[in-house]
Amino acid sequence: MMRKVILIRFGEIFLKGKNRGFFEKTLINNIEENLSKFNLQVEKIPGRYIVQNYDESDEYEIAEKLKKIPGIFSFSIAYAIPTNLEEIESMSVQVMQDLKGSFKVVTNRADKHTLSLNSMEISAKVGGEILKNCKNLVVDVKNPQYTLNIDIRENKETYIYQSLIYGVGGMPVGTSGSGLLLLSGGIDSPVAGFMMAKRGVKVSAVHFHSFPYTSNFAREKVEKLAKIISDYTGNLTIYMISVAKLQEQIHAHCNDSYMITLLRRAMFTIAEKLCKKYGKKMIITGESLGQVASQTIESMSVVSDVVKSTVILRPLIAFDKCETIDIAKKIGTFETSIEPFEDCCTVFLPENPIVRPELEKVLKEESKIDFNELIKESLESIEIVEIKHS
Amino acid sequence: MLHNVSMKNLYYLDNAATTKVFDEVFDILKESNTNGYYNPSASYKQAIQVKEVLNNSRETISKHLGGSGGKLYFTSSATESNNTVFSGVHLRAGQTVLISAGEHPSVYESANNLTKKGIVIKQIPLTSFGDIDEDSLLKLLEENNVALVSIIHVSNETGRINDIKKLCKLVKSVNPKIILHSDGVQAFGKIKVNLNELGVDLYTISAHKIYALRGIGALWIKNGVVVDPLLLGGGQENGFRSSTENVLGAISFAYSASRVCENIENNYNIVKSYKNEFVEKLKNSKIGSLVEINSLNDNSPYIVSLSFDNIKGEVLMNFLESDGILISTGSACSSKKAGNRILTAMGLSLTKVIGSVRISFSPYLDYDFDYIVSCFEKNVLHLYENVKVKK
Repeated sequence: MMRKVILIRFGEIFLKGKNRGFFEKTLINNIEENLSKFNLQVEKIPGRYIVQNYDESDEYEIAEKLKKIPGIFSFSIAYAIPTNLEEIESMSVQVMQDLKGSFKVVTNRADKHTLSLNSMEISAKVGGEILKNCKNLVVDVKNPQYTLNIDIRENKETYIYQSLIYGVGGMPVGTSGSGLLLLSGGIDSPVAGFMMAKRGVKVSAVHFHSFPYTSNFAREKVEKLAKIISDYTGNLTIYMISVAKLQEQIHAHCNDSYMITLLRRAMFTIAEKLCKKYGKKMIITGESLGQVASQTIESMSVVSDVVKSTVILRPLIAFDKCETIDIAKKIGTFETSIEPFEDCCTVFLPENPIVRPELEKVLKEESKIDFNELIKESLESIEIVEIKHS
Repeated sequence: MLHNVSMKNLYYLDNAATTKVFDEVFDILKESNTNGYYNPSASYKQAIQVKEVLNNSRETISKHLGGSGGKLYFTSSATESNNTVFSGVHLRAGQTVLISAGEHPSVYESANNLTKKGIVIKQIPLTSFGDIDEDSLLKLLEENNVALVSIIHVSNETGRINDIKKLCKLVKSVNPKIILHSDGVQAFGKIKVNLNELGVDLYTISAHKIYALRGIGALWIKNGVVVDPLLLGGGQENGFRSSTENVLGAISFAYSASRVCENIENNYNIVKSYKNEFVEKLKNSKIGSLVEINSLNDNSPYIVSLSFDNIKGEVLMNFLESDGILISTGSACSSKKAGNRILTAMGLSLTKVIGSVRISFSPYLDYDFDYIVSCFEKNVLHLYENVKVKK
């Protein structure tokens, strides 16, 4: 009987020298966790992982999941056989026998001892065998329709496969610490969350809402976005924080043009407090330089000023909107992000938001409200929502 | 997970959206499902009995509609019934279809879809009360080659009752061949309906607005009027609507229709007193001078449209939800296409359209109007103090 496995290659882990063990262990845990609803085994072999003993009817769904796990560079659906030439030849013929057109054979040997032939010789020998047995195939090494890959590993097993499916790459979630994503309902922040998860960050999120000024739909939308990115980030916690009172007070007492600046200062203050409380090492935002009034360098400086000892990472800082949209479409958040429900910023949206705020003036406006007390009240409104990946 | 609403004081004032199914319906359905779950199209005795039950349900509803001059066909919803009208009535390119400016989206959208086939769609304007502007209607009828007219019986936004009988006469006086359809979703079971008397050719009704199950509606077709089916297949409903019949839905529809129609006056009086008490208390409250009632005294009391100038109806709705008061907005201000087609057609200013909310009562629910009005007062004042919609 043919033994079918999924052969997984990881990317940047090789760069990590002494930490390699930790990275590899984290990745296998993530894979196992992500595939926990299936009946299967994940095994580490030198230089690869293999997923085996799965039900073939689950294969498509498993592959879809593997495509979304950071740290996986690529994978292939392969046939596993013991490393000996007869087996390799016979399996190769079996795999290729129904095909019509041109082909080539590529051999990769991690194990250079078991077989006496080198890679080129193995390819040539297996290619000859295929030609002999498969009447509808011809060799074309430059531009073949089909490539048969023979991956000879150090565990005395050989894996034979045709195609290679790319994953998201990057590093396993959990290998770069944990961060708090400012998740609105827009296009950018889910992409920022995905990007940092791809760099190995364990992402949690804070969502600022203004219910009852904003609707239940706005909140539902954020949960939906979190659910989509949880395919990449793994299970994800959202801290829901109300800033309705803050917005009311700013609206009532401060110069309207400073609404967004003051509100964002409050949000970042709250975010840092949450980081401290829940042990997050960074604040992640979807800001892009100059995209809107609150994302000019002046606005960002004045807002970052409240964050004292937590690093703020802005993975989209130099992206054009269309670049972000491309990623949003790729990861599947775009359609949800453009649903027209207000997030907390738009209800009190000033007609002329200040584009280049000066800290001194901002502090003066801020002093007109009891900033610290309002922050405290907002923090008390916290609701914690756990989003489980599907 | 959504924001918690305290269940202690829950007042459901969105009965025009849907209603709570009568508890008794489930007892009847359980019995039907035990003894009569067969496919009514089958030929064994048990199935024939089910077919009888289905047809009895049809007869019952038809009787309450005063519809002996036509036949009632079950559909999946009022939306399907309305779509069937615009796809099934025989129309030719170049002919005109008139719809009122106060139609539900299922009429508005499916009528406008006909423009693809070269059919001209024109809207009959509303007066500031929400009535059909009869002069304009007459003019439209005289100046166009009109084949089909659709006028809602009771407005789902304001409760305005159109005088269908009079409008029907007017339409037929210009050309008796014109087909007249009326969407009676907010009328049937709430005000007296007699289709033979109204003179309409086609009439749409829905079950879930009158305490029956969702997933079933009906289209009444006057004898002699030809409407092609929307769904083709096994030829159920005399070939008018293929699809295995929703017998349980039909049973629930007939039960609830009977119950509301047999109590129609009593229910009407209860709801009328609700509306009066609510409007009166609102007018005598601290926000009495801020509120505008878009529904007149002689509208259907089941629906009341209100406007507050310069606040957002949707925000008010959310605030009231926190107090356990569930209403709806006339206008979805969160979407980019802010506004409400029908209130706008009545000539309301944009700020009043944005500031509109819809209250709809049920005679089967109790309301504490002191509490409800006090919540309106509290929240409206809060919003006036804190955030006015910017002009």
